[in-house]
Amino acid sequence: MEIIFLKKTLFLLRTTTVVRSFFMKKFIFLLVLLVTFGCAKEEQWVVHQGMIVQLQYDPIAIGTIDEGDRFWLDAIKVSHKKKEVSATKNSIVLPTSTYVVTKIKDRPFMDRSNPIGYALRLYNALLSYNQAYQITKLPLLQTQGILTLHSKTEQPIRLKMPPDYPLIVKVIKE
Amino acid sequence: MKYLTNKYLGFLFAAATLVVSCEELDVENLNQPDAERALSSDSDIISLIDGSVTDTFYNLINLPGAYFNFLADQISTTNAYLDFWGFADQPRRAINNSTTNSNLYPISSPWSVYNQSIYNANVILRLVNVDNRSIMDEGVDVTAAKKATALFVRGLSLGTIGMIYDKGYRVDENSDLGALEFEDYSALIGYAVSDIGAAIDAAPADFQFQIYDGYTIDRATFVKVANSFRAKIAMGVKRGGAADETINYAQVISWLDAGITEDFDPPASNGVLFNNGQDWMTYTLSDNSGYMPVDQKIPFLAQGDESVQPKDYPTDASIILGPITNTTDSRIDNYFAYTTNFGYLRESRGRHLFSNYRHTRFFTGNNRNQDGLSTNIFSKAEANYLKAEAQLLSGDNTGALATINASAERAASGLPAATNAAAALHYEYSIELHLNGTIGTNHFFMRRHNLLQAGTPLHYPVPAGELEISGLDPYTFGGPGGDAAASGPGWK
Repeated sequence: MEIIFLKKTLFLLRTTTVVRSFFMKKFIFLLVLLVTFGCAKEEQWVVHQGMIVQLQYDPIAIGTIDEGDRFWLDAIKVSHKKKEVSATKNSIVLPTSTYVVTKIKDRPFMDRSNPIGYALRLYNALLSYNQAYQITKLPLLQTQGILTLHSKTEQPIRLKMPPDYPLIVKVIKE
Repeated sequence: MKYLTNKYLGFLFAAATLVVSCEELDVENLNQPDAERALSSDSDIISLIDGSVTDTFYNLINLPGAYFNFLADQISTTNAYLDFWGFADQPRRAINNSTTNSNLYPISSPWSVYNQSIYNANVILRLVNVDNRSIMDEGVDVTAAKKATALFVRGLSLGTIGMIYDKGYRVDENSDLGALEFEDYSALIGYAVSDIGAAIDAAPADFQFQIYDGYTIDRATFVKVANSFRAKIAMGVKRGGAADETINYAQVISWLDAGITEDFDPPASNGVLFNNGQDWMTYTLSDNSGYMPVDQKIPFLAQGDESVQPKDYPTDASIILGPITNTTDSRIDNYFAYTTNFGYLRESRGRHLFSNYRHTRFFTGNNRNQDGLSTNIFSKAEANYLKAEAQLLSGDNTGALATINASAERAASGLPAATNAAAALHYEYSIELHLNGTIGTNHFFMRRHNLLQAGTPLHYPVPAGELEISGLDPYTFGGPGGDAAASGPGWK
């Protein structure tokens, strides 16, 4: 019964010019909405490429790093979470600028990140990608939080991040 | 139907195309962004160094301080989370300084946070001293003020590394970063003390030292705070280790005499500066037991009778110790509370680690992160006890006793006048300076006098991850008979 009713309704929709016009307007409206807000809402990405790059978290802006912030190092997604820092294949999770160390009976205990700490975490996570990257200038890492990455493939290292992500990237060799 | 189906399929296709194209809206930044963006404006520079002051003080009263309180037998636990138990356990364990240890936080966190502060300070000092750049704040030249601030941050941070670790890097604005070598704690402390002295000298007459946005101290107060810290750091060199541990006690006393005259206790600012170490250590469970309860050392010292309050909790499960009964010290009841509940303490991990006491001093409803609460960074009592200790170690026992007995908290405690300076100092550190000061306060005092129990590490090794990066073999300290381990019996 319901199916017959639906078929009838669709037949009417298809054959009624007024209704067709209504749906056409709606379709165009949705398309315009999609074009206007779809991409406007999507961030632009800043891309850096080089055979040798140096990464350093900006000590001034580091406090802005929040849950969900992320960047891409080639195919590796580096993202931030308030808790559960981890690494899986092609994914590295770092803490947010203020993160939850633990919860005791629902009471969170927090701590803060710092640029050298981030660089060291990235270094440790990237050790498992040693076929793709060589990490050099290690005193810079330990004392300045500067991570120097060399591509071990013929492809340049590609970093892609939102413009306001507080990672300073310096391309040493293109 | 077919018409509508096509329409919606078309719409879906358009949407998918747009989503995919959005992913490709990358801005190729082949001009290379300015890697020195952080230094592009004076306001950024000011923000960097002012923020470093707040961070440095925050880190001095953060969670890593709890680990030193385990090692100093000020607090106890059998909770293995974050390796708490590993630092409280008896017999003492060697520090698990391995890259395979997922709980390297207590060792690695202080290393990175203080090196970060040093880096930030060097950014400013390089601009000012090497590039001869002036720093302007709304038309006012603040170069001297920010230089003084940077020197203080570097000195305090390097001094803390020197007190915590056996060695570290000394990096200044002129360092050749490719030729860095580790230097021992004695050398680091020497540089630190020198930096803090330079900070005092560089501070202009109208200096306003910002602890955090909204709270500053004037030059006179800054000088007192800086003098007190350089005295504390200078005393940190003594530990029974391998380096040159010579201390000029007369110099330390003169700094303390020019040091704080009241507690240095900036009010907490929610989420900005608060005593996160106290927040953890005073946390009280619903059964009124402490999450990190007071170590049995404190009832032992307060009672003064080992048959009533032994050094370690009885391992006989049928025994529950009573409260402290024999003390005239009014602080005991004010600072600590008795409970028969053991909370998270687990008998299977050692009943000798149990305790019947939790913290009431600094307990503020399980939340220290509230505006206006105390931060307890440097108390006048600590300054007094440092002076008394310097007097004692330089042979002035009479002077030491006079300083202890004149100290306000001791004098008001109800205790009789001290007659044994060394014992009185240990007691005062254990009671008055408990949770009351920066990271390692009790541990550093105890190692100066070989009061740490046998096997307790005298200091931390360089974190394993850093050693691996440097291509160096891992090493560790502590454990009975281990390297840089207290020989004992210490206070026991």
